[in-house]
Amino acid sequence: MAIGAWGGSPYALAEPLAVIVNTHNPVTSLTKTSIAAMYRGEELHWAHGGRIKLVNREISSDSREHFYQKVLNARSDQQFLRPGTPVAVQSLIQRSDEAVIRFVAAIDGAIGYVKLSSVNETIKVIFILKEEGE
Amino acid sequence: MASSNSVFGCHPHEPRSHRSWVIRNFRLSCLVSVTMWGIILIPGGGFGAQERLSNATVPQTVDKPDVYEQEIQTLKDRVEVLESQQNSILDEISQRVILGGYGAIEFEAFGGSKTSFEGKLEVLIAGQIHDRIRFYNEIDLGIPEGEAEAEQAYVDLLLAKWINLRGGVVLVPFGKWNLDHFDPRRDLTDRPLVARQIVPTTWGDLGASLFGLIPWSPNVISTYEVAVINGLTDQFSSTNGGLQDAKSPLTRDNNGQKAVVGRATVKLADQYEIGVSGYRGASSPGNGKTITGIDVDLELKPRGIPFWEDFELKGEFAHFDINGSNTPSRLYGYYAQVNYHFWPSLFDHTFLGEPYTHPTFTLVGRFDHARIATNAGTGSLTEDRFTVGLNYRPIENYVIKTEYQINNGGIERQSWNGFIASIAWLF
Repeated sequence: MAIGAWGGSPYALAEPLAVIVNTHNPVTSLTKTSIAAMYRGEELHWAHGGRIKLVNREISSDSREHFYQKVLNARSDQQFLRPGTPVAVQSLIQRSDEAVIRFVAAIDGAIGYVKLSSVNETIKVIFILKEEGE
Repeated sequence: MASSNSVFGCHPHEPRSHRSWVIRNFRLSCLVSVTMWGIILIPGGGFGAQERLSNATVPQTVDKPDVYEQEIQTLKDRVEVLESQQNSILDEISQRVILGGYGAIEFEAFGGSKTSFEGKLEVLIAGQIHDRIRFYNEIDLGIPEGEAEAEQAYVDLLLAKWINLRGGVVLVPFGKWNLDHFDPRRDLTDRPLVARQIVPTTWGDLGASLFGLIPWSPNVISTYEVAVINGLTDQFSSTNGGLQDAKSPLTRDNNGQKAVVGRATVKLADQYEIGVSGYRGASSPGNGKTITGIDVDLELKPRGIPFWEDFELKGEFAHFDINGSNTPSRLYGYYAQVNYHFWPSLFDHTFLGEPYTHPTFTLVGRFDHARIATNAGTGSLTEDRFTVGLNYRPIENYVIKTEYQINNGGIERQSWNGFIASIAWLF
């Protein structure tokens, strides 16, 4: 609602989102705070040492709007910057759930989010973001 | 007609040898055409034959499903390999090197001086050498001064979340504004007095630093950066630029003692931040001039709270003492700024709003004050400034700013009021 007041389309995604990682990733679950820290660029590496490779949807995507609002408490076009630079925290933009899944399935350190109904056996779900954000 | 002639016959003015070649070709064409039509029309030949041939092969497909399944599997495997390679390449491209930049063009009109356009363009090059080694360069191309210089050029060794090593030309960790001075990010064109006369903003220096992030709870984190740098020189002034000209020229230190500077912050829910910075260093060789400074900054950006989330509050206070100097002996200043973000729905279907996801207007009010104190007979210089501005951001990385300044004092704009406008962009 608040985001709508900034001029964006009102958020209306009913389906839960799944936060996914590569099946080789030893992580089995993460908290919302940890996921937010990754997307804000505060957490750069996985606990087992590899670099976190963020996958995002395009700004106009419903999934991105949902994810940014509920996980990052931000608008979908908000940029999180590397401290002391105007350079945005790098993430790869994919334009469909299938593309996100294919990328996460292929790249060990990748993390992304897709609609729960898109999930398949090629990736691992580590967090489910329901309507309430839990 | 010309084309018809050239294909089927000969032009009357063409030579005989060419004409006979064309006639031969024409006969050949007729023969080929007749043969083709024959193949098509004769039962058992032509396209009809192809159809029957296709029909004839259907049972063979059914008879040998394994062959096709194998071929399909082979193709699937190849597509998977290609996708995997494509994703790896995408990963490399997205992580390896980032080339960007930011720029601004500014116009100002103040009483007592000529109107002027000024501009700047900075090139940004960042990337990873390794999963745990990254670099960042910010090169000011020297518009309008004419001399390019590195504002930042460092490499980070990322050891752990709580401790990392940085070396090179580092952005000095003193004050929020210095660390976030990038024009497209700012809501007013002119920096506040405290970030021009007191803290020499865009302050980079040769040195090394340790930095990190410490999470205290899910919603509270601290950050820190402590640097050892060459430090400020004794090129400060009480009448012209404060500490601006005391920035290190990125050459050898003018004294043997290194300066120590650092900043620590506490952030609450990524919405409220308070930072404290300190600086201490010799400014000249052997004469005992030491500069010490302290800075406190605050930024409140409430989100998810109806009404208040449209506001931002920012402020910074900085104070420097120069031991052993009379002109100046002490400098301090502060600013407080309120931003109000809004977007009237009546603009939704205009050229200002239609093509963009989250266009925004921001109304800005800022008060700032600076004081440069001397022990000399000239006394102290002060300046107060009130600025009101309005900007338009169709997207986060492009902004058109307008503002009006009311000045009262004797440091920079003195008591001239004026209008400033700018366009800033980041790519």
